[in-house]
Amino acid sequence: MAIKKLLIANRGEIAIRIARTCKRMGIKTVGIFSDLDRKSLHLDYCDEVFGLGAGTLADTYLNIPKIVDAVKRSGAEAVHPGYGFLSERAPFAEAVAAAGAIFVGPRPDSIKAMGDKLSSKALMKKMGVPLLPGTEGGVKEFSEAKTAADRIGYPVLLKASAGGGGKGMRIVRKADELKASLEGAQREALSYFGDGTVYLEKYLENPHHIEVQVLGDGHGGGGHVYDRECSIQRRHQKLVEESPAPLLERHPESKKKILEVATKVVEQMKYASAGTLEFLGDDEGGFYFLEMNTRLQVEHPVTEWVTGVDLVEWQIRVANGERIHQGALVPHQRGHSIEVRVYAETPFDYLPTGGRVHDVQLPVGPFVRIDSAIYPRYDVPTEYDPTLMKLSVWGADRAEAVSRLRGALDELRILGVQSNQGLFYAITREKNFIAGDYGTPYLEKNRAELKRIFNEEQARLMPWLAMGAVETLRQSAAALESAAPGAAISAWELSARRGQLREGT
Amino acid sequence: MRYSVTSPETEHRLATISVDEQAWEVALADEKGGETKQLIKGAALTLRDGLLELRLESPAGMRVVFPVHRQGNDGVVVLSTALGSFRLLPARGSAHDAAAGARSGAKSIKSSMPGKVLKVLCKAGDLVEVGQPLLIIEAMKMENEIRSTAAGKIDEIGVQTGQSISTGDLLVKISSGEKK
Repeated sequence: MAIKKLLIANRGEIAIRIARTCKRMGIKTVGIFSDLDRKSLHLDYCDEVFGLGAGTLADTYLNIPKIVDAVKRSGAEAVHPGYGFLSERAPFAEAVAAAGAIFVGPRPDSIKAMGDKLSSKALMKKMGVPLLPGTEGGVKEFSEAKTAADRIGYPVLLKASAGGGGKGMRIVRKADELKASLEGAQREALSYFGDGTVYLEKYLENPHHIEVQVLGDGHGGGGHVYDRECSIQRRHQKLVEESPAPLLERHPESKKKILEVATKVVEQMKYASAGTLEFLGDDEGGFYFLEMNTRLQVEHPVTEWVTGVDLVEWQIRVANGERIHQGALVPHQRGHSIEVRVYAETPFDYLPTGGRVHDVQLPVGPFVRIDSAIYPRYDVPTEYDPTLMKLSVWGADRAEAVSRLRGALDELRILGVQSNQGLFYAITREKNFIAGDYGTPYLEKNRAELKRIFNEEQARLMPWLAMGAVETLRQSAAALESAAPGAAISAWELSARRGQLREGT
Repeated sequence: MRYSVTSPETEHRLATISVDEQAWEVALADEKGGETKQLIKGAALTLRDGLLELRLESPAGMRVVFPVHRQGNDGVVVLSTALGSFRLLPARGSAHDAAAGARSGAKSIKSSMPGKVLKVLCKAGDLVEVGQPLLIIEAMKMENEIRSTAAGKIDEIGVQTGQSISTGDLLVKISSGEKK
């Protein structure tokens, strides 16, 4: 039984992205929307739409009964959850199944198993996936700490078991520093948290965020769909993603191992649908499991670029019961792809902006992809996440991808809403990024240089902008004058008078 | 004529522009409070369909095109570039504003973002220090702490918990005058 009608339980760019693949596969789509999203672009891409009414997220996109009701009323045979919202909630997958529809995603037991950080780590350890080396419990005696540190290897991090926020934390780089640091950390832990227990963990000087895309058929078929690196982050949210991971290109042995490990997880879990294993990587090529996301990832376009695999199509094929026979996917990794997330926020302080998009000019041309849900005169709601669009490019190699990204960003114009595109202007011109040499501390470490690149261009533009603004006002004043002869008053004068009126009140 | 420029980095700069038939002189306030001047000769500007084209004689043939939008009737112009959107507005009576502010010793803290007021952390009559958190505003699923930019007494709170606000809305008025 092939799915003929599918409900997309999401909004914005990802709902559009899913609808596109459905259209190609001849599947009718059902969209949902909250009252705030009455003018959202994703509705234009769906064959039918169901309103969820007003209210908070809990009343709309997170409301399982309302969405299941839309599934029943529309007669949709399947539900694609997208990312975020209900995509990783087992009760939603169960409710969809109970309503007689197919959940396009993993089985609820896989979602549950990976939903808890501790139990997922335990399960991964059993399957032979490397975890960040550390002590299982707290240590009290120096001899205990010494044995553990020797086993883990320096540098090690001492952390208060009861703590957080950096209190009771010490980095130990050499064996002879351990004793003093342990005592210090224990003292701090005791005074701040009333409990002197500390534990040890391997310390990574320049951690990298590495991940492996996987795709399984639920019967043990499938495997990895190559790697990505997403080390450039702010507030623990990714800004730039690429495939292949520059870190793993420097460590081909680690790349081979990490991909093998991911395939093994798919086989052993009999994992169904798309998922992502996230790891911390270090500059020596070591990698350590962080968590597994049991859904389609925001940054999936870079994987699609380098493998030619439409991940949404395969999610639907697997949901249809199709098996992935050995070699059926055969994903080759060809060339290089980079994606940036254009957010409605300021480039360096990450402050939310929002407002009205007066106009938007999207870059086009060879090997450029836009996943966007904005259009001229669209008011960006502040109630949802700040993504305006994802811009991704492909190049025959990384250098080509970087220069293509630079060119595409230079073509992008979002008139009205302040975005973080200026940060990407700087990143794509910064030498460490160009060299592919960066870890998660990248934005902090290179902040001054990135700001310098931005400011230099801003200083160059400013006179033209000032002239442009004056001319715009002068011409609109002239237009006003010709419309109402005799009313010879400039726009500046008008605005100054209004200003004085306001001051007077 | 003076203009205030709001860049995507939310820095406020002042630009002074003199225009005659042949040349524009643009002076920009730099970070250290100084001014840099630039004389631009032979600029031809054309505006059509929301696109502004600037052609310069020197360097020969140079051409810059910006999408522009005039916002409302307040003389605000939005221009977009590869760095993001810039807003230019007339720095109306900025000297006058500053003098008025100094006389009354009052300072208004306005919202720099649209969103929803999650929490009001102060009340009228409170004495506050620079950097003290005043409100928490939720926007784009994130909480943002609004801190005081002045020391003094809270005269007025312009918003309530749960209220939706836009950029530029008055949040708090602080009088920095005589301490009692």
